[in-house]
Amino acid sequence: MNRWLLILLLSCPALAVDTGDTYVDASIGDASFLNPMLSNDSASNDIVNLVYNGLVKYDKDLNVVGDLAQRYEVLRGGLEIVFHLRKNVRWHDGQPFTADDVLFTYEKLRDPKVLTPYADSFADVEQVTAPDPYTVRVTYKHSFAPGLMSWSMGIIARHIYKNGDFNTHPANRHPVGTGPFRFKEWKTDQYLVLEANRDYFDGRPNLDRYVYRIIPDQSVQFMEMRNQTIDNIGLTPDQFKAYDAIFQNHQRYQYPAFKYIFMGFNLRNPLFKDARVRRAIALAIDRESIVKGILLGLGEPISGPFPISSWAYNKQVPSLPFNPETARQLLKEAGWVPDAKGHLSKNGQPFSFTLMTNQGNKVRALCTEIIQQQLAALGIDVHVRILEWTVLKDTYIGKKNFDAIVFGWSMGPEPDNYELWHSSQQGPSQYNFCSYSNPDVDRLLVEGRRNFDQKKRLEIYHRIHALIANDLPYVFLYCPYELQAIHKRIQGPAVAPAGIGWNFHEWWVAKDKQRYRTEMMP
Amino acid sequence: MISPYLRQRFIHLVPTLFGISLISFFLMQLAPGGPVDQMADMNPHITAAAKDHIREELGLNRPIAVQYGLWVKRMVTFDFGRSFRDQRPVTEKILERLPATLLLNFLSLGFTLLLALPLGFYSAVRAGSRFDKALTVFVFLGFSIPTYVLALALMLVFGLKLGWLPVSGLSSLNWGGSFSYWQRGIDMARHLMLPVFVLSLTSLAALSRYARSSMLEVIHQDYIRTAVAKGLTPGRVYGVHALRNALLPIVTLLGLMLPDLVGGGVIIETLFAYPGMGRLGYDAIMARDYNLIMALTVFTALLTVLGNLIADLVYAWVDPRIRVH
Repeated sequence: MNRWLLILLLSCPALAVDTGDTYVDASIGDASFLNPMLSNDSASNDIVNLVYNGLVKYDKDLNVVGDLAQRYEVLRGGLEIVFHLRKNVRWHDGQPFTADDVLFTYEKLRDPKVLTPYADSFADVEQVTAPDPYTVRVTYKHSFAPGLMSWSMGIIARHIYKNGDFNTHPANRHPVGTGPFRFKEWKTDQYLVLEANRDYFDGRPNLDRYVYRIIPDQSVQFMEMRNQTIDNIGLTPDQFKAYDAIFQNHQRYQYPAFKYIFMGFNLRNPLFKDARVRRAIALAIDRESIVKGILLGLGEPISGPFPISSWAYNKQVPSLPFNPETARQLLKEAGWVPDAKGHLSKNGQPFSFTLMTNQGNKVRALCTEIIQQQLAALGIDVHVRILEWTVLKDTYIGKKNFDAIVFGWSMGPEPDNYELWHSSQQGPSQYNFCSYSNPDVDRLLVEGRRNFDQKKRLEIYHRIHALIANDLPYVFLYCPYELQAIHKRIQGPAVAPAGIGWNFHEWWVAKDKQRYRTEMMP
Repeated sequence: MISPYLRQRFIHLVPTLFGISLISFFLMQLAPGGPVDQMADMNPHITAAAKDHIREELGLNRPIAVQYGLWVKRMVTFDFGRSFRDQRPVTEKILERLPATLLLNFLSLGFTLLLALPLGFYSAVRAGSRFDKALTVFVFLGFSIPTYVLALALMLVFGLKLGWLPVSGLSSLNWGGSFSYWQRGIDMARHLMLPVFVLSLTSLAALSRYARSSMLEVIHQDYIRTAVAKGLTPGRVYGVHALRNALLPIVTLLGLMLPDLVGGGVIIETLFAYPGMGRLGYDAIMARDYNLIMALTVFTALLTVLGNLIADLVYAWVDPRIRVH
């Protein structure tokens, strides 16, 4: 009986899905390394994610699920993770994928000659072994919860990389992976072409081809979209709000990005040592008007150190209201009194500081101007300085040579941000450049890393959120929306907590709407 | 036959280039940050220690003087090193861009010359006429319009509204099997039209003005008056006698334009998504890709010096009066 049902299911296509067509994506910059261990820019990662697989991945709801691993087990309280690998996976050149490739990937991660920036994510690993060709056993020196997702990094093939220098290997430009798309062609600074992997273990992608065009100017990208010469585009808020007629062939999507923008204080500066002063500044900045005015409403004010769509984000913590009156009160308590013209001063010292941000980011520049205006209303004199990215990072932030900055963090769904908040991370060029230090937060950050129990972790990170929101080392400004338009002929895109590309290999185009014929090989 | 003059000029090349490389190497290091700092912009999971390890591996933690010494040592064997961005040989990266850049620049230079010289000379002969004034207004208009405004406007009209030309890029996506050699040529020509036009229009002003003033100077000379007095046709007077002499300053100008032929326009290339040298250089500077910056600097310096030399030589060749002995 069951067998008949199975045959019935197999013989009639469950879903009428057509294959074929090309999906044309656009990027501002070109890729550098098509090697998951060396790639460190978003363009390279875009391609690497389609060509390679990790052992685990996030599903649409941001649960950690198996990828090259069929399933995984966390044992001995997290001291050991066992990955049970899929047996039907082949590299794009036909060779079988086995545990040996995982061992090789790990070997290379620990090889000091390899120029990988990711080695530290594996620093707590004690040993990686393969008891049989389809099992990988990782033991840790102590349990490290973010370690599980570090195995989402693409696994590379031993037979491809075993000979030759790793950093300059030809496969870094002609990758051989296990992913849904296989590499076809790369014309530097023009385009990259990938083709459907017809033997993909999770079923072949419905789209035949993926083209990644490098178009460095955003307004030109917008024109190419209107011309229907690209199928996907990232939009700025004003582009997103353009006339509907402009998007007659494209569908617009919006969802909270995994990033947030903040104004950070240098806590070593005597001006900002007083928590009342920080609170007053936070109360004097109208975040609603920033989101409405600059993002055209395409974002949300936040109250703490996580992107709003992260499970770690604590919705119980109220967002600080816009309240200049209380702000004045607090400043008065802290000893800052207005003179005849309304300028604040304390012991003859005027309240004046410099607010910096990086060049080339219009939204951040506008943010600094609004903050400058709103604080001027309190009698605080803010100088705005907009500096080239590297200058800002190296000369000012890295050396703690700043008063306050407007800045943003992009982070994945993993909430561990030890590097940002732990008091041990205040050295030059480290990421706790605000010099934040709270023993409770320190303890919780370590606990959050040690714990694999999701319920416990939720508690820990919600607690961290509340503590940092109260200490206000940053004024947490907003979480922007990711804005995107995709050609309407493409079926399958759906917004989920994971964003929009999570089911990319299932996207398809009806035969009569296909724009590119398969025989037209790019 | 190599004249002593020429040999001397060539010998001078070496210290000039050495000086340029020394100054640019140290100037470059003055800019804050280095190649590794550009990695993974502020991704908190990439630790300062990991970056420092990479810096050590790449030899970027050594004193600058030592780094320069090593660079010169490699240079002697024409080894420009590898790009820090993708570990590819710098020479490979430059050679990859050269054809597209030369194509764009030669086309636009040719187009500019073809238009600028006749227009300039003609308006000199008819100086003060309505044609001359109209041309002046036109070329200055072309010169004053910001490149990006012009480029975007043309894309909008010819690419989007009329649909005659592609918006950006160097080729269509339907390449390979389906396009014949001939179709590819047409496809590329269609992609080149807008960038060549924009590039030409902006250099048209300068060149046509040069042509005009140099012609103007020549036609006030005595020998032109003599030629007219002899009863020669205007075509012969201006087209032969005046033209030859009016071309001399243009030759110098062209020699000085040699480095421009391989250097690219960052704005044009960025707008038209054109894979040329301008973007390569700009990206290299933004990424502090020292090896690539140095290679491009030396390359441009060499071409500038050579351009000067060639201009001098051609000048001497076309004008017997200034031949060096």
